[in-house]
Amino acid sequence: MAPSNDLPGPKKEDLTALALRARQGDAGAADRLWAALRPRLSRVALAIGIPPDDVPDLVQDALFAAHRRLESFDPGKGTIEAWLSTSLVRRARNSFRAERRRRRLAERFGVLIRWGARPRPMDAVEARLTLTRLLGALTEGQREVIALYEIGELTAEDTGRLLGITAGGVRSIARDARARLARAALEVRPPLEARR
Amino acid sequence: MNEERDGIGLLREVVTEVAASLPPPRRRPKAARPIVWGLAAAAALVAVLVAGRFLLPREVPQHPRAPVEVLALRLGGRDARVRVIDSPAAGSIVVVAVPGATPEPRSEGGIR
Repeated sequence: MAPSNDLPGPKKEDLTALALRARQGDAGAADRLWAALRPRLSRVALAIGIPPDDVPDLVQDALFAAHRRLESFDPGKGTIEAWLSTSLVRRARNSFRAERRRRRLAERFGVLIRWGARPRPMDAVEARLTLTRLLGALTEGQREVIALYEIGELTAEDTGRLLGITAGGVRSIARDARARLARAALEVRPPLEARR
Repeated sequence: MNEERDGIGLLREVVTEVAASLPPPRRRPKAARPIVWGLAAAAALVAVLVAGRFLLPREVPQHPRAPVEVLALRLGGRDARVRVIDSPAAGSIVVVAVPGATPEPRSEGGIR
């Protein structure tokens, strides 16, 4: 069972209402809707495994595409979060494919290509390393389930519909993924807590 | 179970921390992709060329004229008025009148 939404911001029913008002042309409602959804989508994208430097652009693209297609949002078919997550997952998969192509190219030519490397505060660097290690313990399918079901807080039914699996399958994959995360956490937690 | 909660809890913690450190997006929202604008510009250029080909007056008139008259049109420009006078004494005499130019009066034959 996905945890309840304990983060600040509009509740799910408020987001759907905002989406409906935005669909009718209320620009203020649209701005508030995208501002409320951006942090959640960023967390989901990170949990799926998108490199942090690529997350802002990917989320921006997903939000902009949603803004253009907002008239096609049907609250009867699911929440606005589930609707947006479909676009995000598709973009994430495309991003993974592009990244694999870049890696193959780099390996073929024997060079290491780095884009957008920027200095960051130590805490953020360590958090990124921890995130990389935790996600490295999961398969791509498990990452998608964990990102949508646990981090994105979609229901098992919505997650399953989005990924093309059953709700029971979502719960089963999430259970295995949580066990893997627990083992991975034992390895990375001591250094993370030692700095505090 | 506690270990599982610790694992997912740690993931939530680091995801939130990394998300808070993310910079704003670099790209501005795009109204259309550059290739769309490129295709639109190419289509507009083709439309202008086609319209120019069929709508704008051509330098050489379409209707047949005597070669000497066509030569006079080329010399005098598109706006030149050309008149051919057949004279038994001098053969064909071509008169080219260019707008803006002041023709000099000629006494021979009274032709200007």
